Amino acid sequence: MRYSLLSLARKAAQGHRDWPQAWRSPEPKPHYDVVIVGGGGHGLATAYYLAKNHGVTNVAVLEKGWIGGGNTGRNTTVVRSNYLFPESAAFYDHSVKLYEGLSKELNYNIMFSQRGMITLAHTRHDLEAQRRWANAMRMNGVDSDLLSLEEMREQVPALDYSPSARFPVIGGFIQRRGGTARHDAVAWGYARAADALGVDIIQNCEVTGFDYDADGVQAVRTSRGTIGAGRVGLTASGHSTVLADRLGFRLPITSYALQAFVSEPVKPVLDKVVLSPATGVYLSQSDKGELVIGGGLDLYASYAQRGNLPTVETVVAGMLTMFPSFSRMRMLRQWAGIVDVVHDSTPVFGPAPVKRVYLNCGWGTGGFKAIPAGGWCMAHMIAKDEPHPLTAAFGLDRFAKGALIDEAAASGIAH
Amino acid sequence: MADLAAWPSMHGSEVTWDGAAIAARPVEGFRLFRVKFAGESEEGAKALGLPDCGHATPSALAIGPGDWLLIHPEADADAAAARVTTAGGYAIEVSDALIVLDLKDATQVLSRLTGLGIACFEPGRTARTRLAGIAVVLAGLDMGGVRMIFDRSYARHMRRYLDLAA
Amino acid sequence: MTRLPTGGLIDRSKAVRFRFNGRDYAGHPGDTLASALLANGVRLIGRSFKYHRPRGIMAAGAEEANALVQLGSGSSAEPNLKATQVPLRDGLEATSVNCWPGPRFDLRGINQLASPLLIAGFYYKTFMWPSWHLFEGPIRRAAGLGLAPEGPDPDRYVHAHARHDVIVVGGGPAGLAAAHDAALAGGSVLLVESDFELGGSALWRPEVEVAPAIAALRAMANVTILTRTEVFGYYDHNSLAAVETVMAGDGPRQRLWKLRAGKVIIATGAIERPLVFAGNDRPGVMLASAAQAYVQRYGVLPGHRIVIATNNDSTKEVASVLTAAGASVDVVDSRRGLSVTHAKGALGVKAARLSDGRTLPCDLLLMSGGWSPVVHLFSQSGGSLRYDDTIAAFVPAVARQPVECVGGAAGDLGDLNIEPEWETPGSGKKFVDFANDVTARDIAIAASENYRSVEHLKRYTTLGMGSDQGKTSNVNGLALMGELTGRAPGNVGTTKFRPPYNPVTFGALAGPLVGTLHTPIKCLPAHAWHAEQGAVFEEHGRWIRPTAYPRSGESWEAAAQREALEARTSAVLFDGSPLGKIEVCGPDAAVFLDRIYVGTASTLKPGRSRYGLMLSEHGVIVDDGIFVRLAEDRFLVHTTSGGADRIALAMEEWLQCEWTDLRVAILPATSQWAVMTVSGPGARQMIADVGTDIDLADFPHMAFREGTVAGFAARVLRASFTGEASYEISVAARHATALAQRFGRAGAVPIGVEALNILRTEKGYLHIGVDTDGTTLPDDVGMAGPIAKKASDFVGRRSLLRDDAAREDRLQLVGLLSDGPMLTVGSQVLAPGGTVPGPSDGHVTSAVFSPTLGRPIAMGLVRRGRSRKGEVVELYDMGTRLKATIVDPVFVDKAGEKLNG
Repeated sequence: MRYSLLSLARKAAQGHRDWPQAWRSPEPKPHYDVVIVGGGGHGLATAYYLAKNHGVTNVAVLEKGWIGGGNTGRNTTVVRSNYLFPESAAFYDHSVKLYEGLSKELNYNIMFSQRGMITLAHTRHDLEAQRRWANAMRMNGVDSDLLSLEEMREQVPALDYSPSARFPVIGGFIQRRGGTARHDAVAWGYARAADALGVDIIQNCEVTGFDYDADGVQAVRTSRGTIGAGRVGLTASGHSTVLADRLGFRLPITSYALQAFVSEPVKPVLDKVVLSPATGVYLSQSDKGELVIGGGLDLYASYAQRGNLPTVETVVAGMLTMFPSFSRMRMLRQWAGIVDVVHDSTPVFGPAPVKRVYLNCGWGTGGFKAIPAGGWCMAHMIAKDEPHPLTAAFGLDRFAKGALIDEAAASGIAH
Repeated sequence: MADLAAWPSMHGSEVTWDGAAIAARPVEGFRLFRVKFAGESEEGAKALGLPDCGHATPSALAIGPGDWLLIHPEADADAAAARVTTAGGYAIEVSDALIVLDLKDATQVLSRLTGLGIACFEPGRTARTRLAGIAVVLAGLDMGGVRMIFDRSYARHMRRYLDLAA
Repeated sequence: MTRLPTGGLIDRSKAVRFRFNGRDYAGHPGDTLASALLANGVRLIGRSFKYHRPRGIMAAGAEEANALVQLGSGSSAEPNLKATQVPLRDGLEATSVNCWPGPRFDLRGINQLASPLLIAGFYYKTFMWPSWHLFEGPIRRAAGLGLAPEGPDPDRYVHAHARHDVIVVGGGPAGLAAAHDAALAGGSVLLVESDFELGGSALWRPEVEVAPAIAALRAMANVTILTRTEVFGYYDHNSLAAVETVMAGDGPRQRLWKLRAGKVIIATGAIERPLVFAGNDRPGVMLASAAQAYVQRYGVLPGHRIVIATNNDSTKEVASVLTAAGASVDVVDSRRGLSVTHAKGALGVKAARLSDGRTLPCDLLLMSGGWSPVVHLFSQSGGSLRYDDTIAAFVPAVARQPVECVGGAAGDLGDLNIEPEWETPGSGKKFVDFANDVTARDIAIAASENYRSVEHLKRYTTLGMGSDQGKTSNVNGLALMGELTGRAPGNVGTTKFRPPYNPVTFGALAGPLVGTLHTPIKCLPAHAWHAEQGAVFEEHGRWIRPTAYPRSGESWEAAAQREALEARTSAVLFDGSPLGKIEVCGPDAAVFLDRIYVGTASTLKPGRSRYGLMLSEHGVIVDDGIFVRLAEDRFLVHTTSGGADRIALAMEEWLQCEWTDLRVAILPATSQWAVMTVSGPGARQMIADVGTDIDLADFPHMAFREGTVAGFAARVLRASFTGEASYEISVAARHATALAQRFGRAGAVPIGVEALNILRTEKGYLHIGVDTDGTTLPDDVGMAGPIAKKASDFVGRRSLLRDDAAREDRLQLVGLLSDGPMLTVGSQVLAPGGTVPGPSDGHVTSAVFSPTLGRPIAMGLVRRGRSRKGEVVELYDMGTRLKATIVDPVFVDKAGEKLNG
């Protein structure tokens, strides 16, 4: 059924009975051409593009819990492509472009709001570093603009512009095409569209091991039985190292808890997404009125999806140092995801050391914005058994070669 | 460019501690040395009578494993530093690097602010922890006093903190 | 609604004046805003989030989902407080939220007409054409409840730690008993209660005697009691967080408690559940126990003709209390086959329609759908829950930390004899989540669409995501979903409980380290002297440093130009005190430094120094500095000003974790020494003038001496970042000002960070982090030589053997000369014939106007730069194009002769 105002009205007239399933809950088949491990945004997008772009529909997405329940449902919803290096810029901007058309493509409103992402400058060194960044973006064909202090005051009035501010705001730069999108909707939209093309989405199905040998992978062992697989895609952020371990190889990834929180909903007070490099804190205001706030990691390795109080204090202190008037507002909800951190802040994307297994991981704190391009390129790689040009530089082999792409500055958050 | 004219800026020597919400008095007339050993420290520490980690003598605070602060009046400070060298240790002067404050009636307040138990502030005990976002050494004094030692460059910051922390 | 003539725990002898929506009212000490409004006959409080339906007061405590108010205005505003949790105080001003002009007549009430379309998740199904942006503006303006405060917070907040053997959360009957038992057993006990009174449910059930227990606890020396303190989070290591509202006049507004417990006892009681029938959100529809609380605790009768809809025995007590207070009460018990299907009366309930067709007039409609133990903290602690059919509730199952639940929180609810009915039959809007306007139909739609897991249910319908965090809606919602999909509530399960249990002020979470106390900042020992010289200051890596010393009428930029020229012609003084200084001592100190640096320490003689480049394990340049050999077993290592702490820590990590056999001690000394650098052709003479016992005639570049300068004990290093003869004079920090004054009187011109930047750029000296980034390798900046010469291994060496390190097209540090205009740092170098967008051949890293040469100069990292000298390249900077010639990065005194003066 196609979603639209018309169909909504029609259903309303019928008393909203019998709304069709957004996706089925099929029993797993004994074998699939492609098995994707991890039912988050990347996994579901991969399945969708396998079917849509490559006509590969005999696909299963296996999800340990409920789809979108990992990092896809826990991030701070920011979409942007303000990266420094050409390889990153090309990839993430492809993702932003896909986001721009995604609601219509999936017939599911993901509410992509391109209200603009601003990075603040507090020192002259910041201004210089950001000029390089903004120029590099333009060289890479991505939109960027520098903002004067007057423009900053106009666009983000709630910042501390007083002379006694701890981190005086002296300017900043903006990617106007950056913004936010409804994270759950991205997972659900891809799931519904993939399901409609014949992909099986299997929830409550944990992968416990693999059958593989020197010729490559043959099957995936799960809590719901063994499932034969022609090819396997790994898109399980937060547990990529665990899966790699079950396939006998290591990844240069350490997993940490990354917390985020929201305030109670208030009337509009912040229009843009704003990041301060001095505090490492960034925030935006959702369409519901809640401030959505993120900052640095809990600095110990963990799979717990739960951070602790000291990080909350640090992030909130950073936020209030930027926005003193938010002090009397209250935190309403807080949660954490598991971020897979790679030391050059660039993902690990490419064939795994086991044949017919493909990796899409190591997104660190920045996987949500990458979902459409991640799925697009992963689908290509699985279908054609060769990396997509946009992700060729992200392979596991770059560490041995030393061809690192150090996006620490661009990923915006302290690692 | 950021105009920091409105900024509260002063180095430790210009800060006045009178009137702080947590009463603090700077301690003068002492020299301080940071002492470590290269490799094993047990023998040398024993020879010098240096206290165990977390403890203090009148002239030495053990501020970490194999890490001490010596406090000596001017008169015998050089001799004390020389004794360290003889015992195989290394002593560097940190008299200017650090500021020593004696906080009056401070054990309860500091226990609240740092999370350390009151026992850590008994005379003869010492602790190293974070306060106001910086590293501090705390040593118990008689009559509920606590001696606080930290990098003098942060003095202005700490002065403000003492007014706002409790 | 009336205030009863007697009864309640209020102080009737005093009046408390307050204002709501611009009208003045009075109440008593002991009232909440909610009880006082009810006493004054006000039951319409606001409008709901999505449908803008009129709403009143439905509860008496933290579970209130409808009666949100805004307190105060301007910078003291507090949005979205529950009127039931606002203790009444004199002068309080409150307003409704989310309605305009007011709750009685709200323009957005028109939303109700569109409500058939506004089902849960409706926005996923529409607003896609032509684009979301068209709809987003109005939706954002309609969303949100209260108004954010304007201006900085006038109040401050503090943090406090405490640890106790036993912490009891909740001062009701069960908590008081548990605290008493724990106290008798010895050890320290903390009792934490969020209300302003102890007593919990006993506050509205006077037959439960708690006064003796309270008196006993107050008398025990090992018991601490905190009231107005709400525990909102349970974390690892048996730690809790709580927020205390501080009542002292000029103190902090709130105190965040960070508590550690040997054992935690959770006595947080249970919350009553609503019944799900049409119109159950109307003003005048309330939880049954809330009505009892209003009568018993506040002396307010919230209605006179009362209907109680129930499915359990707990309402018997309510009925008898209300009857005794003079109301007429009808009980409608669904266990007897009779339900309330409709609450009628939009602005306030007027009647209850029953399932047998009858209509009962009423001005208060109470509902009891059962009780949910408050298991949030237990669940946050990692404890698991199970569903108990006998009480139709989730109760604690297995604990993962030392914690125990007692009383209502443990499921001790008495004989409920409950027969749950998760949805009352009938048409109309039956609310499950009042805060977010989620109805039973929304849950049915979610089930139909396969958003069936409890987490999907929550996220798709937003059930439980409002200000009340689902306290009255989570169980009803998940049980209803279970019913629709053939699962028992226990199989549907609850969503993950996470802090905060109740919303917590951001200010309290942050504590005092905000604003000027955030990220501690350091000041120079001679700060006051610099200020006297007219310095303008900027922050550089946590230090406040002089940027320049403009004289009257001079801009700081012009001052920097003047200062740089002085350095090349006379003698200048630069305060380099933040320079990192670390003493590395021990028999293996040289071996250690050989491994840490490119540049060999072991071949250095005492009194000599060497430039050291520090690499990461990836071979990337991370720091540089001069190291000096003081003695066979002592080195003085210098780091960049921003790197001192970080480098000392890195050294410790290598020694403690990897090279544990090396005998080395790391002794940081940065703040001990003030560094006054005298530089320029006149530097040597100036030092002689000021006075020194060091033989300046035998003091070559890169040498180190100890002695006295101006009578102060000093360490002097002949290192130069200006390119002129330079003497870095380190004295004990207490002498910084005196030394500066001596040089000042001798005619040294003070120069700031900006002038230094000009000077070092003229010389092509590297500024790490500016001319390098996270990818720059030694050969990129022309420092491959020392690596080739060094035989032994060092951190990063292996990575320099990787393919990427040997790429022939790497970016290399060069100079750039424009044909006139200043180049901007961050400009990109285009490939020959290149376009924008297009590949980049590098970027400008440093750019200054050189007063020495009278022209702009720049440095940059350019692809294959060293083999392209003389080539003219095009630069791009935010739309502007310029040309520049690639040159050697040393612009002044290429042979470095001036260093040796």
